Amino acid sequence: MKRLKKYKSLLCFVLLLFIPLLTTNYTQYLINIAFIYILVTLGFNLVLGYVGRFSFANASFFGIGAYSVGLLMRKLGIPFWFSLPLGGLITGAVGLLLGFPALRLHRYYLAVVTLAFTFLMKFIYIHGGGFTYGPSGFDIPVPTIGVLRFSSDKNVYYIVLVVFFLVLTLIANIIKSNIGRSFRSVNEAENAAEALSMNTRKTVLLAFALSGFVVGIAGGLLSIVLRRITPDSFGMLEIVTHFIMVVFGGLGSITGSIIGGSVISLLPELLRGSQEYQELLYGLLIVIFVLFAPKGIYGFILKYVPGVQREKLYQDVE
Amino acid sequence: MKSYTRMSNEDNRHPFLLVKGLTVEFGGLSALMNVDLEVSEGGIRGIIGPNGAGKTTLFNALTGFVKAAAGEVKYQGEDILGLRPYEIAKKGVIRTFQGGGIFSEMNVLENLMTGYHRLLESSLLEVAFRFRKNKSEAKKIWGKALRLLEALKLKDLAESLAGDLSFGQQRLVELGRALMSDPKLLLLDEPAAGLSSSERDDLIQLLKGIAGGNGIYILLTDHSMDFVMGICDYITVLNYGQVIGEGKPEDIQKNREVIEAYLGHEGESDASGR
Repeated sequence: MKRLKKYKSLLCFVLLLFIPLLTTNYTQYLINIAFIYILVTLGFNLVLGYVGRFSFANASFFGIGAYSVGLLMRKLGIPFWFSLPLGGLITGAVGLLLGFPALRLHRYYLAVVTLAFTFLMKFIYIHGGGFTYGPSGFDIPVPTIGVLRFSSDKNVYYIVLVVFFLVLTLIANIIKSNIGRSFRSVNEAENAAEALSMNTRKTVLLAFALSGFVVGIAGGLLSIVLRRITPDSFGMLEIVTHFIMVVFGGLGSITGSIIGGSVISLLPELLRGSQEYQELLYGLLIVIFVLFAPKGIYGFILKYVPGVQREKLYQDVE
Repeated sequence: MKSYTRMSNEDNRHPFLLVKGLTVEFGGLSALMNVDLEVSEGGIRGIIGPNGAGKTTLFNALTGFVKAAAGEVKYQGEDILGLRPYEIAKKGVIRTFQGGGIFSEMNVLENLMTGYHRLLESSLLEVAFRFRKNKSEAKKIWGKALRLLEALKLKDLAESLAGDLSFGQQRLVELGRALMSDPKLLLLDEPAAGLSSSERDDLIQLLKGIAGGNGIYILLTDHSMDFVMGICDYITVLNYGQVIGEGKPEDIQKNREVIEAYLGHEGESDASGR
């Protein structure tokens, strides 16, 4: 049993490799999107849930990741395999920069500043002329290895899956370590964190940079899943969606991020034919969860479903 | 042997902690006035005084949480006044708080683990990729936390959320968390507040053990005379932000000024109508 636990995530990975055997192209596309949004939620959670900073720059990270990976491939002809990590690093650097206002600004002001930044980025995508290809966006080259072309949804899935597991594992390792605990310490009691030798400024900056990196990688994956990116994908609806994913899933929880990112990204599909109610539903979800389940679905399950244990937030030691 | 004599020489030159003329002002009012303090012998030093005497302000100034208007603080010969709190903590000066110092959304074990932060060696990449160094460090942290929980009789509560514990248990968790960092100087702000009398006796034994066995210098505040008298080797009395007495517990008990600070001047207390 203990052995099984140790290889739980590996087993999960192997089982997920067989998914394309069961799907149509369209459901495969939806699954790809769901995996991407889990990373988006996880990345946003680092800022919103773990260090508890009220930032709305997440949609801009997503866009910067998608645009930088796409442009690196398209303009400079850099292969996807290098563009993706580069895009993550670029977005991580932007995240680091956006961490600085988070050191000084009170929550509402930070929310306004980061919101403004997200709109500014959208403005740049639209009016960037030849550099960003303007309002209609641009096509993304197909990633290739030798003769192998990742052009279909089922092929792209394997890229998404591998990157997803890699990033999830790295971030989970960090969250379960003392570095992750320093995020939560700073969030809960800044004075106590400082008194334990934690540099609270550095901690907040690190969380923003990591958040940028993760969401930037997710944006890069989005670019090859959509095969075309446009400025519309990174506006107001996206800001609200990311926020709901974190709040619905559970602030400061990996499990919650997985639930929130996947369920909410599949929600529009379940509402097919009644798209106009999507925003209404989003609004209702926010109200319900903020009022009645502030710790999200994850917190709700922990509280009301007997026998469910809190996720372990420290590394396994044998 | 050689290194031993060198070390003791150094100790002679620099007292472990030297506070001179420390003054803290809040909007023109002096919360601390010209406070001198010297800690050169190990053991437990008590800072007592009535409410509002400046005990917590002294701790805040020593650990960088409030700015001093004047004075100097030398820790092992090094000027630490003006450093940020985390920089002072990095040097091994670790404090606890009167309240609100616990991470209530973490369980007890995690709370203790955070205390190890000062000694962390693994870098971000080593942590993310779980290099061997990180794995062995995680193991070390885990083992140390469990040992301390055992010593604090909190082992059964390891998986409980710290926010669900009693106030007294939370104080013990905070102490354990501080001990995780191998402090050199431990500042405990009213560690006995909220403890039952048996918990208090346990705490006294524990602190005496820490101060005696590990050579940790302990500075603690409390306004309960009984507790301080029972545990401290040396006592400094504060009143209205000034040091009004210093000495061994038995001397303090005889000190007129101290008695007056606690009980008020005879005759005057009647006049004030209390």
